Amino acid sequence: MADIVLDVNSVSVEIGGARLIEDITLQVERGSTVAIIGPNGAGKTTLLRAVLGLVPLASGSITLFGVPITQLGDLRKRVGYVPQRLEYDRYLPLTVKEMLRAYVPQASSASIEAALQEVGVHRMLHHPIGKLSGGQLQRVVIALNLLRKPEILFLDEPATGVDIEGESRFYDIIERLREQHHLTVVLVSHDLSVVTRYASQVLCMNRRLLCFGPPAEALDAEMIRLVYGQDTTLYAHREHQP
Amino acid sequence: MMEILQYPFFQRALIASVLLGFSLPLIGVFVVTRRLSFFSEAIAHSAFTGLALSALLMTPAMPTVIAFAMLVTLAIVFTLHRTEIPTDTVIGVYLALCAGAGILLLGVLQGYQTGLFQFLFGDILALAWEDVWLVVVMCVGSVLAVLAMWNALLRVSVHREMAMAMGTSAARVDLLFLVLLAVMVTLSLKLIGIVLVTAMLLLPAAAARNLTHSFRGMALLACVIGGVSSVLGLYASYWFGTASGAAIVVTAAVMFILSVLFRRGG
Repeated sequence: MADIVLDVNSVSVEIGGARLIEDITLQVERGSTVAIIGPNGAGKTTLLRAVLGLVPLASGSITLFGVPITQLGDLRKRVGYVPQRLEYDRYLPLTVKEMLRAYVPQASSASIEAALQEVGVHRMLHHPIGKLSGGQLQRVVIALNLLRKPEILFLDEPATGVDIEGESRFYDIIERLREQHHLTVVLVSHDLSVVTRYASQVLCMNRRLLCFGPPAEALDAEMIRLVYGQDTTLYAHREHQP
Repeated sequence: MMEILQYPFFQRALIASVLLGFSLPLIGVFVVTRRLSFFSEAIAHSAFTGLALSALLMTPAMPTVIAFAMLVTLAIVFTLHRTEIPTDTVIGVYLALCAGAGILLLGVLQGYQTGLFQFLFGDILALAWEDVWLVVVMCVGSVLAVLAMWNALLRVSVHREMAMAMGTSAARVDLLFLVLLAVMVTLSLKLIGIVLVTAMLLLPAAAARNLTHSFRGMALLACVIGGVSSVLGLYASYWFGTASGAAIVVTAAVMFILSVLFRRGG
């Protein structure tokens, strides 16, 4: 029997009277990578925020590790999250080490350095976070999550603002970490090549659920047109070709 | 220069101003980082209304002022969580409400203004030893509270939703910090006045921010700048025969201007 880590059951979310997502159902197995795709405004980020317990549900239920999301308590220590971009004050005088210490106070200096080394930004230890590029900062956030030793990692379009080469490297790191640390990964992406290369399951949505299953089965040309619009044509990007 | 130290009033002023000059900037680094300077201003002004209320209701002044400041803090937090209105607008609404209510009550309490202004603008040279003890308790308490909340405050400051997703109760952190800030502002008002309280909260932290790339460095430097400004300002007021609170504020402002000139590049 499959080991279900995350169970989303007929979830709808309403904010300010507007229904942002409706009747979404999803089950995530331990160790899998699930990609959530859809056009802008489809409610992908809202679904992720609902799963993290950051927005109230209008209806439906969400359980993580078998516990209702609103009652996670200490189980939140097993949850990792990489937001779309860190919208913080770029001039805040805060070093990478200080940021990691704030989120993981029990981490030793050696473990902080090892986590940064694992994602290739160990030279940034004493750099102010405001001086990092978007890609470097996202890797620091991955290191932060690694220090917390999560069982499930949620990523919200984590490579936004990173160039295509950097994006590819970034997802390679995520995939390597997923294997090494036996992580379950749920990521929001707009990039179909990321979905086909890394995801074991894909959820397509446009406020409502459109498809869910392995990418090779769930994503055909008809479904892509349904998700992104009738005028959609697929082109292979040279950076993403094998 | 040393002879002034023999006067007990100056000793008390020096101890109180150095302690407040050290502890208020430590809170101030989070006020500056979290852009809450307007909140401290609103709480300072709520003391007007609180004091007028205490006169009207014939209740003890300080407890009434603190209780009213707590009420305003809770109302601001409640409104922020119930609406999508930006923080500065919500604070502005309550500041306007406090100012309006304060002026109304002052109209009712003709003749009470002298006591009110004495309370609000403070005089650090007029402190009694029991005031100094209050300062000691306030400073030790606030430093311990800030250190206990340090990591949680930083997490919420860097990325609120990431902190919440990882188990930090951002609403509780906000409430605890705002309550601490409100208590420190209201307690300090009677001792050193509105201008000096807000100056000590903001100027050293703002100056320190210009001079360092680390948060711990910013906090330490802010405390040093606050303490040094207090001593220099107090002595300057003695030499030039000016108001001591104003001299401390101007000294801290000069430190800020110097920090702008010597700001670390990039």
